[in-house]
Amino acid sequence: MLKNCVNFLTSLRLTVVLLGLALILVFVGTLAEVRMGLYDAQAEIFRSLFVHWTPAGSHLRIPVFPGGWLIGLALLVNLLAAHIQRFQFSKKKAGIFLIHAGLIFLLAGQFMTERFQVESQMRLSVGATMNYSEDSRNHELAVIDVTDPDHDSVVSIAEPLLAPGREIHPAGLPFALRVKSYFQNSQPAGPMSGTGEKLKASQGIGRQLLFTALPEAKQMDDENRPTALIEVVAGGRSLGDWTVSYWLGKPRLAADLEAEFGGLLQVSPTEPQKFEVAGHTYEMALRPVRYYKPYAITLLEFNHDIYPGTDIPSNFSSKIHLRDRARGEDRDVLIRMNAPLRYGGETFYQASFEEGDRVSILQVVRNPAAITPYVACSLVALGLVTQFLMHLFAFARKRAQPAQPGPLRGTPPAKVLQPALAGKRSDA
Amino acid sequence: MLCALEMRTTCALSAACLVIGLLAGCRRENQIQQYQAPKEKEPPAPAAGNQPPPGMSMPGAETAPVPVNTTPLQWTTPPGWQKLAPTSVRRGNFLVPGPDDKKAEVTITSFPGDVGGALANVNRWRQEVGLGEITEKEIASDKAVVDSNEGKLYEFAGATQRTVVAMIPRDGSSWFFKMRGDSAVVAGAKPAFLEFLKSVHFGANAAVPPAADPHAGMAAMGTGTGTGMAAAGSSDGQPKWSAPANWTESTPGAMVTKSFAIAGDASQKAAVTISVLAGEGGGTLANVNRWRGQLKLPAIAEDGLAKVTQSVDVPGGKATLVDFTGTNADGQPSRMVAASVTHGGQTWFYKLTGDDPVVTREKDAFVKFVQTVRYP
Repeated sequence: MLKNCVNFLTSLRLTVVLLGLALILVFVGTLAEVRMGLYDAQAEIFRSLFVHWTPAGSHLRIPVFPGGWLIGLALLVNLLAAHIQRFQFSKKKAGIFLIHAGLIFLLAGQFMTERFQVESQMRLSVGATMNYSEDSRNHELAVIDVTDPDHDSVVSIAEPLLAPGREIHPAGLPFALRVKSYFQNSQPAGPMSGTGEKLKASQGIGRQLLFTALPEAKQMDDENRPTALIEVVAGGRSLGDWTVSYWLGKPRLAADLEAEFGGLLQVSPTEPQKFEVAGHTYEMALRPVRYYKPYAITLLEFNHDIYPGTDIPSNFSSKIHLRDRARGEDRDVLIRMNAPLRYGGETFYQASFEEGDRVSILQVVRNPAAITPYVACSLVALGLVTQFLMHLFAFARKRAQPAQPGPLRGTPPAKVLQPALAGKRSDA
Repeated sequence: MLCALEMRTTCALSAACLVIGLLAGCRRENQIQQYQAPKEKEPPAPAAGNQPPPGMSMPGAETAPVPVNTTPLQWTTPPGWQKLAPTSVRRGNFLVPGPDDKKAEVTITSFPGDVGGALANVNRWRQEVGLGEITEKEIASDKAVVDSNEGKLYEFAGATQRTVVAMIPRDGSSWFFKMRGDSAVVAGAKPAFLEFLKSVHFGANAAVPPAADPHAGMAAMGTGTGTGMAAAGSSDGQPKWSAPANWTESTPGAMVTKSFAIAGDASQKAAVTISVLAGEGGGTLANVNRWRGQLKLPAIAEDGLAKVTQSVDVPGGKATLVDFTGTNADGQPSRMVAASVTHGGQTWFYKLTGDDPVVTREKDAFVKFVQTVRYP
């Protein structure tokens, strides 16, 4: 039984079938991105063990096709198993081994990238300094103890924990947080009401500013703007509930709220929402997950070049100042499109900007496996060259040897070919 | 019975699967984390040269931290002028070389409003070339026309420096076309500068070449396009409308489906916004009081609605129209004409807000606009 399994896992047929399935998956997944949106399609089709089908009117998830993870994993196992099973190092096969090692590296590296790559953004206005970037897709409920004049103590609660009805007891906080409501995507509704559920708080800006739910954003250029209603419970007593929202932390969105609702809100949307428990002052915000860095970046200048005589952009660049006291870095850097800054294990790309050319947005990518594609391609290339050269030299050696009667050394007797050749000669 | 090779394969694969499983499970997700972070500070004052000091009172300065007008602009660069990279506020930036390392620069900038008026700007330009301040009566200027927009052309000659500048009001903004530099270079390049002014085209008049650049999409992401177009209809599933030609489509804010900017005389302006809410959008009273609140007017009761609203015929029903005058969030006098139309389970809100003269001028066009909207 185990022997059959090992034979199955090491078979070349399995490799061919898996490659065929991968082709179909890529084709179907690419088409599905149009309907499902980029992120959903990637999650459902490529970053899953199975592609599921849900019959209309039911909640069943029936696996109908292997997902990207399963196919990739099976390919990796197949390749590893075949090598372990048949591994017999010889000079003649050195090139082949290098090629396969490169492929294994490529698959393993992609797996590492899938698991460990973190993409975030740094939004810098000219003159501003930041020492953190914000996740592009994931959010957190941040409860910040601002009592200490020197630093803030942050408790970050991941967005998936904000399930309505859940009570969260973060260690180190003298109170509990009760999630009364949560919208994955939302829009302000104003003092008047529309239809559907609306979030209205008893404390903070949420008393005046209501929020309603929106469908999840699926398109690549869309973003989810979550909102939650959080009740603070200390010593079994409710201190009230607060509306925390992505809308309140983003300067651009907060400016829109100011413009639309103005004085009706009574407080600025960007004003931190505070409460006190046991002599400590806390702030609460629903915001993109933050990744703090041991260095700071200041945007000195943002340039938006255009083609002469037109408004068509030709180049975007950000001149930044990088300061890292621990490593003695204190220098200016120009980040341009296709010329990113690589520092501290992260890559800073020029990604976007905001109207008025006063705000530059840098894409920050941390990928511990970023080097693997280069290593993998180098191994494959080296393997191909090695294999080619070995054949070339062997061929050259054969050509260099004087013609001898009878079969050449190292070649099998051409028993099958001989009659045919003889036949041809006789025909001639 | 398994041979040694198969045993080795099985063990190695098991180890590989274990490593993969551990790697797959070790990414932090769905957790509660605690950490200390430095206090957040306001953005520090930018380094000298990057940005003017906050609250700078000198209007029209090239580096004033105000939103940049993104109206499409096209021109023909005179021969010999060297194109420089635009800055965050300079829409156009040229170097005019002269003999003996002498030179002049030509800049195009735009700022909202009248940026302090002619006198403040004239005295600033005079200071730049070493001349003293003058009074309003002493200002001398010629007529300057840029793409049918009439403005003033000023010229100031100092001991060694000279400035020729055209100040053109357009759509509630002031455009500055300025050449400044060594006197001889500016004097020699003045005819080319005047030709350059004739070649400039704004907004919808600017024949913007097709977006062949691969980064063109990014511009749309960041800036939007104020093309000055007269909108004729909208995307599928939305009502079709036809806006007057003098309404310039602008980037809508949050919750706003469509918005237009309307320029008046000098710095006066108004804006039209269109938004939609499900159902009755909270009802007439709530909306009327919301609008009154935006103009700092007291709320009214249900029985007071009839006095402040009027009914207007629209396709398939009636629109509720109000006309309020009050004070906006900045404390400035403001007028609002707003209409709500309930259609197909939704309520569409149309709002004309701005300076009274502009709103007065545009009210009839606005009402006609609301009446001609075709709902899907």
